[in-house]
Amino acid sequence: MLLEIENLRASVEGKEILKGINLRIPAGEVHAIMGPNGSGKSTLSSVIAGKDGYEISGSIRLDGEEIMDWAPEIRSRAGIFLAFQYPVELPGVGLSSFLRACVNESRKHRGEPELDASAFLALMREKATLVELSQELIRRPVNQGFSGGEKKRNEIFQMAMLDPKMAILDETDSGLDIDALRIVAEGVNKLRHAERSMLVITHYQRLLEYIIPDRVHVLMDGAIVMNGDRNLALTLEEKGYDWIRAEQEVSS
Amino acid sequence: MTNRPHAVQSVDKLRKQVPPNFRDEDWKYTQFPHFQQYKIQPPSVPGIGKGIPPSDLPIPSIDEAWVVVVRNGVIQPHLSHLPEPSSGISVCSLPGTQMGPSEESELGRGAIALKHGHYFSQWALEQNAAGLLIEVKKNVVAQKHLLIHTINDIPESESVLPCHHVIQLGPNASLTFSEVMEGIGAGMSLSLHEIHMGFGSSLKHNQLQLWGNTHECIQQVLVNQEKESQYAHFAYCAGGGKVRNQLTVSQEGPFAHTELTGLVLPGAGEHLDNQTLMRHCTPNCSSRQRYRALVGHNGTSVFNGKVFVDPEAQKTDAYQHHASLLMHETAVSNAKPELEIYADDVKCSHGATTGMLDAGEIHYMRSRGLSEIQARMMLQDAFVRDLLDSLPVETLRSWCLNHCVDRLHALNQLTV
Ligand SMILES: Nc1ncnc2c1ncn2[C@@H]1O[C@H](COP(=O)(O)OP(=O)(O)OP(=O)(O)O)[C@@H](O)[C@H]1O
Ligand SMILES: [Mg+2]
Repeated sequence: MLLEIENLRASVEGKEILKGINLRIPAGEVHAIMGPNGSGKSTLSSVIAGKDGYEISGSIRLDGEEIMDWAPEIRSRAGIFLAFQYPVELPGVGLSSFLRACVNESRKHRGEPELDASAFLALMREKATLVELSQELIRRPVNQGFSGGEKKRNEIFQMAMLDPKMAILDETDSGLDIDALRIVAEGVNKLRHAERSMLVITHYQRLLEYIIPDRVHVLMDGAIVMNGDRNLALTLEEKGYDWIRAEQEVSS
Repeated sequence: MTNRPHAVQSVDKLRKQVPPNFRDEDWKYTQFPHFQQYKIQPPSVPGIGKGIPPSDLPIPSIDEAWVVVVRNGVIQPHLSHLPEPSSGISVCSLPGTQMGPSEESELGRGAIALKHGHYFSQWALEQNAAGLLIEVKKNVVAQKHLLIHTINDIPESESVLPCHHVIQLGPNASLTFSEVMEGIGAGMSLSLHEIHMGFGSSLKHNQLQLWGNTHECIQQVLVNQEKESQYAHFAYCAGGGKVRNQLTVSQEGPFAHTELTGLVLPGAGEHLDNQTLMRHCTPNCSSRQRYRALVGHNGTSVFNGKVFVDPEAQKTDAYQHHASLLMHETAVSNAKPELEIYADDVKCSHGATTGMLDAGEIHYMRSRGLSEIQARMMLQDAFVRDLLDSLPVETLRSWCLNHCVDRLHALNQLTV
C-alpha cells in the first residue's frame, strides 16, 4: 500500500475539520475525492503534505512508514507532492533556480548526485513541453503575475520535475480553460505509472473523463461517506450531494 | 552661492545653534546629542604599510579604474592611481583654506551646502574640512571608472573626522564614480558631498558603506542638477553603529532625471537611517527612488523619503518605493514617505511595505522540498538581488551579492 490513512483527525482552534478519515491508495492507482465546498478536501491534502497549524491525530503511512512527525520538506523529498488549490507567488524567486534547488534536495535525499546546470535545463525543457508551459513563464519568478490557469499548469510542471510517488492534485482543473484542461490532463496521464499514485480532488466529472480514476471517494463534513468506481462521479454529477445526505440520515 | 555675507551669516547662526534633537521631525529617530563635545580628529598620516587595502574589498586594479585611497583624510599616493591630465578629469585635494568669494565661485565649495545643508554639513563647512575636488571637464566622457576608497580609523568614541568632497561635471560630461567607505573604531565619519551637474551631464554614483558596528556616520550628499542631466545614486549600507545618510537632490533644469536606489542591511545593534529629499524645481523632470531594508535581529532601519514638487515643476514624474523585510520580532523599521506637491499636472506615486517573511510562501517552498532555512534564504536573496541588479559596476555588484549572502547566513543564524 503506497498511502494509508487511518482515523485521521484534524482541528483548527478547537474546530474539528477532519473527523476520522480512512483511505488506502495502492501503488499505481488514481483515486478521486469529491465533496461539497468546505467539506475538508484541502485540509486533508494540507495535512498529508505536512502543513502545520493543525491539531492532528491518527496515522498517515507512506510505503508503510509513519510520516505524521515528518516536516513538510521531508515528506516532499520522500515523494509526496501537493499541487495547491491556490498556488503561492514567490516574489523575485526565479522559477528555474527554485526548482533546481528543490530537485537537487530530492535527489540528495535519494542518494543521487545533484544535477548540473545543463542536465537541469534539459530536464526543464522536457517537462515544460509536457504541460506546454512557455519558456517565458519559466524565466519569471515563481507564479508572479501568472494567470490563474498558468499557475495551475505550473503546479503540474513542478510535479513532473519532482517526480513524486504520491501526487495530490487539489482542484487543478478549476481555473483552466477547455483547451488547458485537456493539455494539463494529458500531461497528468503521461505521468501515470505503476509506481506513482495520485489523489485527484475535483468538483467536476469532466476532469475524470480525461484522468480516469480507479476509485472515487466522497468526503462530506470531514469524513469519507461513500466509495465507488468512476460511475460514482457520474451519479454525483447528475444528482448532487443531497441524496447521500439523505441516505446517511436513513442509515443513522 | 557666491554671496559671502550670506555664508558668514549662516556660519554665525550655526554657532548659536545646537544639534537637532528628537523634537525635529527629521531627526526623530536618530540624534547625536553630544556632538558639540566631540573631539575633531585631524587628518593624519598612518604608519607605513597600514594603508594597504584588505584584499577582500572590491577595489579594482589600477588598470581597470582610477583609484584614490584616502586614509584618515590623507591621500595615499603609493596606493592611488589618479586620472592622467589628458583624461579630462582631475582629482585633487580640496584646499582647506578659508572660504572666500572668488574661490567659492570657482570651486562651488559651500554653494549648495549653505542653502540645503543640515546642521552637521554646515558644521563641516565651518571647520573647512578637507576632502577631494573632482572635476570632469565639458564634454568629457570618462574612459574609466573612478573609485575612492576611504578608510577612517577613529578608535575613540565621541571623536569625529570630517571630510568634504566637491564633484563638478561640466556640460555633457559623464562619469561613473564609486566610493568604498570603511570606518573602523567607535568614532564618527562625517562627510559632506556637493555635486554640481552641468547641462546634459551624467553621473553614476555608487556608495558602499561598510562601517564597523560601533562606528558612527553622518553623511549628506547634496546634488544640483542642471537641464537634462542624469544622476543615479546607489547606496549599499551594510553596517554601522549609528548612521545617518541624507541625500538631497535638486533638479534645477528641465528634463533632468534622478534615480536613487538603496539597500540597507542593519544587523544586531545597528541603526541605519537613510533620508532622501527629492526637489523637483523645474518642469518635465523625473525621479525614481527604490529602497529596501533587510533588518536583522535587534537592528533598526529608518527611512524618510521626501518628494517636493515646486509649483513650477509641471509634468513631474516622481516614483518612490520602500520595502522592509524584518527578520525577527526585535527588528525595527520606521519608514515614512512624505509628498509635498504644489503643481497640479504631475504623476507622483509612492508605496511602502514592511513585514516579516510570509508563512504561506515558506510553507509552499517547504512542500517542494526546501528546508525552512533554505526557503528563508531564497526569499531574502530575491529581496536584495532585485535591487542589486541596478548597481552598474559589475565588480561591485558581484562583491555586494557575495557580501549579502554572507550577511544573510549570519543574520539567519541569529534568527533561528
Ligand atoms: N485555518 C483554518 N482556520 C479556520 N477554519 C478553517 C481553516 N482551514 C480550513 N477551515 C475550515 O475548514 C473547513 C474545510 O475547509 P477546506 O478548505 O478543507 O474545504 P474544501 O473541501 O477544500 O472546500 P472547497 O471545495 O471550497 O475547496 C471549512 O469550513 C473551512 O472554513
Ligand atoms: Mg479546497
